[in-house]
Amino acid sequence: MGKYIGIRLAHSLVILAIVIVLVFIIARLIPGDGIMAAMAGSVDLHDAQVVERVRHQFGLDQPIPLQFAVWIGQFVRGEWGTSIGTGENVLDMFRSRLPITLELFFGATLWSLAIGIPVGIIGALKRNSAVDVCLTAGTIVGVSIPVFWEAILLIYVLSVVLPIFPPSGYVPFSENPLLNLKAMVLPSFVLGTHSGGLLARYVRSSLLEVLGQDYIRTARAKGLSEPAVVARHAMKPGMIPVVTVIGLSWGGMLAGAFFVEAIFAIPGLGRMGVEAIFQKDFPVVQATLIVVSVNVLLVNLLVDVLYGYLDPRIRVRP
Amino acid sequence: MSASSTAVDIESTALLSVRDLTVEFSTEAGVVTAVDGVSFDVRAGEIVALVGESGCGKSATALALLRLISYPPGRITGGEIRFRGRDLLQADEATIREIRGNRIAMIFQEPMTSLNPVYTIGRQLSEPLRLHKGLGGQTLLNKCVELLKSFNIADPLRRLESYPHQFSGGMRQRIMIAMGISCDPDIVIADEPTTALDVTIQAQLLELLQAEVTSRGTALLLITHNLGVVARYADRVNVMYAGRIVESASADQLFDAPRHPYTIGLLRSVPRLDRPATEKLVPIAGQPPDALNLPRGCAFHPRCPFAIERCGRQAPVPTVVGDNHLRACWVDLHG
Amino acid sequence: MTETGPIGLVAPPISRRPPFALLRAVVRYRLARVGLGIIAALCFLAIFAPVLAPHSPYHQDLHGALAAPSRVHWLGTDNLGRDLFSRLLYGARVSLFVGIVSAAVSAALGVVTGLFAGFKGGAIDAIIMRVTDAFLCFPPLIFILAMSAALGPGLHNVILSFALFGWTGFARITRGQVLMVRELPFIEAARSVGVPPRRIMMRHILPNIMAPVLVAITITIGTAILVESGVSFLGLGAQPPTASWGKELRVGFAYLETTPLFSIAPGVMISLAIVSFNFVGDGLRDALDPRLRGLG
Repeated sequence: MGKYIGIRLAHSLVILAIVIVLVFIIARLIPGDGIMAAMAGSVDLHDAQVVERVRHQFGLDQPIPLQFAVWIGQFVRGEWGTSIGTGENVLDMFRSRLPITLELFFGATLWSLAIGIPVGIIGALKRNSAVDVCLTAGTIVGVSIPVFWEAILLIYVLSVVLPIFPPSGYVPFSENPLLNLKAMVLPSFVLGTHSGGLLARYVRSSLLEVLGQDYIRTARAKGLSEPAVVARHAMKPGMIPVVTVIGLSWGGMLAGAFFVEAIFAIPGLGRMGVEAIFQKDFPVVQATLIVVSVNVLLVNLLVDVLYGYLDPRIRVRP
Repeated sequence: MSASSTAVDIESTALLSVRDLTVEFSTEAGVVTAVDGVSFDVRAGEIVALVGESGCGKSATALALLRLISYPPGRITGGEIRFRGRDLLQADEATIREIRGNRIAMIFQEPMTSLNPVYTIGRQLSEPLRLHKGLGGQTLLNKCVELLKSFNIADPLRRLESYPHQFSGGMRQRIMIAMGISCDPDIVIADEPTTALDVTIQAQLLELLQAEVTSRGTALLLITHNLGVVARYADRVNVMYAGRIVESASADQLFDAPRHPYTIGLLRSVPRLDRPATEKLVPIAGQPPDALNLPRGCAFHPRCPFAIERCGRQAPVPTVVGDNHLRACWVDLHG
Repeated sequence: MTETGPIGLVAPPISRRPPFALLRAVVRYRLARVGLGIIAALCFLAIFAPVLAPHSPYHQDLHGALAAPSRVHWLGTDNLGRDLFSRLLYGARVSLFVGIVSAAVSAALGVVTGLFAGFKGGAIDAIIMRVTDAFLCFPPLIFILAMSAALGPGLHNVILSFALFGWTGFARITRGQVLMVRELPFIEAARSVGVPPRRIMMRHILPNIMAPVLVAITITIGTAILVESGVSFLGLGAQPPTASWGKELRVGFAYLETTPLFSIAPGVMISLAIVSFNFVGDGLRDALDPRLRGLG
């Protein structure tokens, strides 16, 4: 098992290196003088001295490899720069917004599991019945419908037509727990339905595959009741893909968070990212890209490790 | 095509008594009657063989005995299966579950896929004992170790903690057999237990199986297509073709004086030690029938060298031709 | 396509079905059929939008803004008094164009790279695979949003950004297929008789790996439409006065309470398009998969 983890880790480090290069290209190299344009709002670009100062501030007057090295160094040390838009320290911005987004993610994952697993199991056990067809259609729709439209629809139905939930706004948990939870229900639900739908499809097909295996027949031949056969022999092998799906949909959830936070006016990392992109606030964009990609990398690694634990066969041949 | 009940009503004192069993499968192309009015008995302690080519319905028969036919697409549509006098096809689920793995155990063909890959051998081996005998803790562990030892599996304690993929096919099958006899059943049904294994392992395994059932007095229903295996181990033989039993006799009777054209054809097509080495092998003419389009009348008649006109019109009824020797054929043959 | 290699005996095990046998298989699947129908309808609407649209999508009428559906304006008007129905028709052009072109460019770039990686193997293959892994650490939308910010707004940049990201998926699929097909006996046979590598690649390998690529292209079009609407929704894609479904949704959201249709209609269009491409992609995959396994 250790060897398996070791190999995965090595892969991840190589990928991380490439990711960092990519972020540098996207958020520094390409914009290049775009940074200048972004600064145009706050400084006078006609003044050559100002231009020189700004260029120096961003290290744009250095040769590219040097810029890269300096930039990595800064990042690792926690000097993430200052936001062009708000002037805040970028790292602080992340710190203050992280818990909010985490709460959103936590809620979304809960919804995803709560929807995906039961729907998938029912679909498998009642295969090809009317229930199954409806559920399958539902999951396809759930996966295909754009996150932002789903949000709008739900706001319309559950906030405008039936004023149950607030349409937007965020209240910190410490201030008012009840209002906080109420405000988070719709956003986390919307975010969770996508991966929930995906999960349902994977769980269903995985469970069906498992149920068709010979060892299920063996279990029945031993005299186990049908519920026991399913619960004891089909669940564990059948749930293995759940782990992968959560990993797969993590990236999608990150992207979805951008929209959900923007629509529901939740002051989290996603909204910050969207605003930064819009305002070409490149220090923030850079930091966001790195955080996002490292996050995905870590989750993938975790999924691989978990997979090795769940399926003993994988450990032998990594 | 059902058997005439008078001809085969004799053995109602048998441990397992199957009468007119019919199993159907719905496929895209139509309904296939995989098992068509099959009747046979298994007496206590007896080794009974069910022989036939692939697709003749013998596996479906075996699965039907424990009501393991998957629906969809399969369904048991008729007949009765009397175990110790009770008809299993009428019994409720709880009764069947009590019998499965406990009074009647089944061993399957594919050792590679018949064990759950995510659980240890120990957990799977002990399952019937836990379920039916209520064993637990140290007693359970000891019993499992004992079982593994009696099946010549070395280092039993470590093996119990291992996973199926760490065993060879032969070992897995031994574990399957051990699992099957663990609760001391009255009957063990072995569905082609060695077909998927190497020839060298096959002999080993069958010897082991026979030793176990003989020492415990367990009856064995052996499903196979291998006549050599039948000749060596079986007390009684039932020959199946296209879902029906065409001949039913003791092993001696069958090999010495077969009375059905199909059996005769089979015996002529396999090498035999009691025949001259230079004697030619004669294959049975033609192809096995299309299950969706069985020939009218006797299913074997298109390939039968003895067929008469009646064979193409009416399906034969099992008739007695000797001491507990039955066959389904219109043509009178001798040997 | 008939196979006439230098050796008449050496033919790929997979039959070269005429192209429309493939279509027939897809049509067999009901959902895929529905999807295909919707796509055909959307294409029709998009192509003939100038003819079908009752009004110009750009004509403003501030007095008649945010009107309810009427005989004149079938879906009402937007906040600048423009006919919503006409704008949605033109939006179909944008979505389908961006979707198809993005997918096509991604596929072209990705398949070439994948072929290269799979065929060359070794270090080159490893490097390319790690690079695709790195790209895939970014959620597509976020990557493309960031690229749009870097390159500037506008649909052409959306297409460019999408292609710069989308090639990775195709590269992986293609490479996987090449690895699988490469080991097959008939390839070895061709090589042993001296068929040059490029010819092997074009005549023998390429046709046999196209199936999953086709499935991927279909699904990618759906994804591209989703991405374009998302980017336009956030304001970075289509710029005024272009009508894009995503952009309409953005504007409509502000008037959700008063004119819900403004938000609902564009969303319906987007979802329909994505769903139908997904249906067709799924159907294609089901139709082609079992036959692919017969390859070995």
